[in-house]
Amino acid sequence: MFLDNTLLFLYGLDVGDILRYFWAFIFFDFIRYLLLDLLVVFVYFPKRFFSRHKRRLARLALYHERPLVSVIVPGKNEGRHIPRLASSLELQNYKNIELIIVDDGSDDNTEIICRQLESAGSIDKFIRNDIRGGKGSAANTALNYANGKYIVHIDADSHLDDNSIETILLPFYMDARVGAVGGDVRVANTESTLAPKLQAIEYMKSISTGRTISSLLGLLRIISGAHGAFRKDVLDRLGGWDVGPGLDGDITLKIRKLGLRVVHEPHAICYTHVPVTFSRLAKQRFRWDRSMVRFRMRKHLDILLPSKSFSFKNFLSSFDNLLFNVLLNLKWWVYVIQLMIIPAARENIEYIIFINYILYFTVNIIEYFIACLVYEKTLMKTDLLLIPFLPLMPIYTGVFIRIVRSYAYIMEFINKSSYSDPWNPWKVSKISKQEKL
Amino acid sequence: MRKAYLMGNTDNNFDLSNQVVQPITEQQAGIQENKDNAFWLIDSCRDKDASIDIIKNIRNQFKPNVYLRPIVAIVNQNNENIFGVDAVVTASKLNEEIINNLISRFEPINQWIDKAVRHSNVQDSGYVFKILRLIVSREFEFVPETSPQKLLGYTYPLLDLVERQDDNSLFKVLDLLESQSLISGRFITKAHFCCHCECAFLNFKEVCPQCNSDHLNSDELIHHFKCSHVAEASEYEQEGEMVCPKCDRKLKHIGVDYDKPSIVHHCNECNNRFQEATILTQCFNCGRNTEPENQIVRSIKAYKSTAIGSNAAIYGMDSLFSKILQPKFNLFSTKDFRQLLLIEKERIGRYKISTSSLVFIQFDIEKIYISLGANAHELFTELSEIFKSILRSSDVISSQNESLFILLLVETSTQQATVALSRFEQGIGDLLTHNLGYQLDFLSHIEQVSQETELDQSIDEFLKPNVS
Repeated sequence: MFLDNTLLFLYGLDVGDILRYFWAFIFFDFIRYLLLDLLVVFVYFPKRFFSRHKRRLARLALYHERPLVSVIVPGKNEGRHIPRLASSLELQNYKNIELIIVDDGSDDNTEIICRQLESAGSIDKFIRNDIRGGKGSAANTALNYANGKYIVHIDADSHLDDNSIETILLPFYMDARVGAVGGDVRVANTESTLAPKLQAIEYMKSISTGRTISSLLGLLRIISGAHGAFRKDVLDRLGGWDVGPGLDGDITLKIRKLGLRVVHEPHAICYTHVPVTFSRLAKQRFRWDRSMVRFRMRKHLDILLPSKSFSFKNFLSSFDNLLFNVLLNLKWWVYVIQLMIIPAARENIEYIIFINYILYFTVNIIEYFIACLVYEKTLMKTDLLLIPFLPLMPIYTGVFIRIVRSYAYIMEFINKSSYSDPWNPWKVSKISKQEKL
Repeated sequence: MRKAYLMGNTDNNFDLSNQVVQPITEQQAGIQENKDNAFWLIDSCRDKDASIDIIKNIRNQFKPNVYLRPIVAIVNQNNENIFGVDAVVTASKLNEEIINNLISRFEPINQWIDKAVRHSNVQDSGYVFKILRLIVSREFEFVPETSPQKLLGYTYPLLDLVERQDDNSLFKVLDLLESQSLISGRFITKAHFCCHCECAFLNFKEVCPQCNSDHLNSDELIHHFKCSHVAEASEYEQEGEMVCPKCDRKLKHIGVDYDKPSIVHHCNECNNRFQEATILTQCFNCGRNTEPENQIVRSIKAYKSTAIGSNAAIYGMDSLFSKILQPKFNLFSTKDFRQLLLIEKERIGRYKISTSSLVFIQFDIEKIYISLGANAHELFTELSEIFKSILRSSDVISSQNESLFILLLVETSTQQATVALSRFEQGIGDLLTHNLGYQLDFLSHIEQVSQETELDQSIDEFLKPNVS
């Protein structure tokens, strides 16, 4: 009955009505997500196929040189995750690795666990900072003691796939202009509750496919802190990380500003633990999204302005980010308000919502399968078990994430709330705010 | 009326009457048993070492009347410390009144000695027994004192000069006496001792976990809030100022724009940087490096006698070994043994058809106490099993004292006894070498029982070469 009425409603629409009712999908989401995803099929796969010889040579060069790789892990109260992380490093097929853990003022048993692992030889260096200084300072502490030619930054609640280190290093050997490589981040705890399952699908779309495309277009704007590889000389030149939050996006931009390339490697896999409840997830996203405003629109506004060091790609990368996050979010509210205002739309609101749902659902299915294609041989059974949850995705990304994001932007624009985030120690936040960092 | 006996290399002319203080030579002191002796007065003003030798000599006598008596040293200054004495007096203050005070002060000790001597005036050759008697006779608590001259770091001054195997023996013996409830210990402190040589002087040092070198420097880490830079303090130093090497800003106030989250050690030998240094202990005596957890930790206690100990100090100590042997073999008392030997002598003399043998066995049980302390019990249990291997139910065993055992093997020729004894010696030799790490002095003798056998005479003859 409802379906019949929906079809009747749809048949009764002319082109003008369709544009009026569904412009948000047609002009923004369809182009931004679906059309770009198709780039993967028509550009990424052929490119990857034809560069396989180059990859093989890169691998040979890597093993010929065998550079020391410093894996650095800053964290607070993450002790319980460290043994798993340490053992995943011992299992790497690339062996010349040193593991440096920095404890940023933990108040649990992290120090005891890590000291034991250090004396057992599973951790090469453990530095304990009694006073918390924030994630950036912890990462910089690790960097200060790192001896490797490359630095791999991993979040403490993550662990690596066996050939992850090898794979993430290959882009450095394929192109000398590469300054940093982002690794693929996949969800480790999909089996726990609903929230991680939906995040897993989201990560497949936005990280595995999304960043592969950005990388392809030369627009990659973030290397996630959970899993990224950097040239040590580049980090030294930059003086390491600056004050967070959002320091992974910040360092990526700084590397881009040096004229170096940043790329994404979808087959270098890191499994990370994501929030298991929606309220925790909301908090996490609140923090991430605020940092977008803080870093793109305040600290690195110069990228968008014409200057001596202006780079079109850097401009596009930041612009794309602002457009599709800040503006599209705004657009969503405009769209919702518009539907409320137009009487004809208001009368048929249930059909419009349902049709929108079907459209977004379809896009999600297509995006999901494209992500599966990107995974190639790294596709796991657990990834396929996510299929039954695809129907929930339009609500998750279309409503939940949008609301959190809008709230975060408003709070950051209005009262710069990221400066009072307890994620940083207050003394650091105070200075950051004073100095407008 | 008791009086003090003065010894030592003295040219002081003390104004003391002969009724109160009587000079005596060292030789006389060892031989004579002066029952009116209140204490030995040793002049150590001129030659401290010589006086210590005299004190040692007294304490190492076997006569309770001699070695148990209190000793008072005359010194130049009141704070002089002399081991082995009961009291010190300064030469300038020495007068008859002080002597009389000391005489009355030591009266309870002397009365106790008299009582012990009245009961039996045999010589106390055993170190363990001498220590027990010294503790019981003094009645006060023996509190350990720290001493840099002693390998073990602690000593009990009054007990210190009684001759023994090594410094450690005293601690082992006190441990043994406590385990037998003859003395009771009160916890004072715990101390670490070298696990190789038992020396108390250990140097605890922080070393590099990579190369074990103790040539380390420490540096503070500095976190500059503005730019998140973290490095060692030395990297921030620029011409007397603290400047951030990342952002070139001057550091102003700790806690405001920077802080010091931790300390990092730097090894000057292997360049390693680390936070958690390894702790090693180096022994001042043998020089070996050992982890502190592998060193010996011992409780240091103060000791005083118990009621059982007071009793044992007068009537003699039951040998621990005898106590273990008793339920297994029905150890006969000397008196009963003599009686049984008498009957056997008569029987053999009368029927003249059988031969029996007497076996004398002596080994230094005390050396085992001293080596093993409270752990001696386990060794003695094993030792008793070896005794069992040569004894039949018809045989008779008696222990003459702690170290001398006499066995009457009935219907056993001397040849048969020799075979049994050699088996026994072999067993004991293996056991002791294995447990103590050295061979114990061991004496044995076999004698055929005849009508003429005289036990005392045989014992004297058996012990004769030992005495010389």
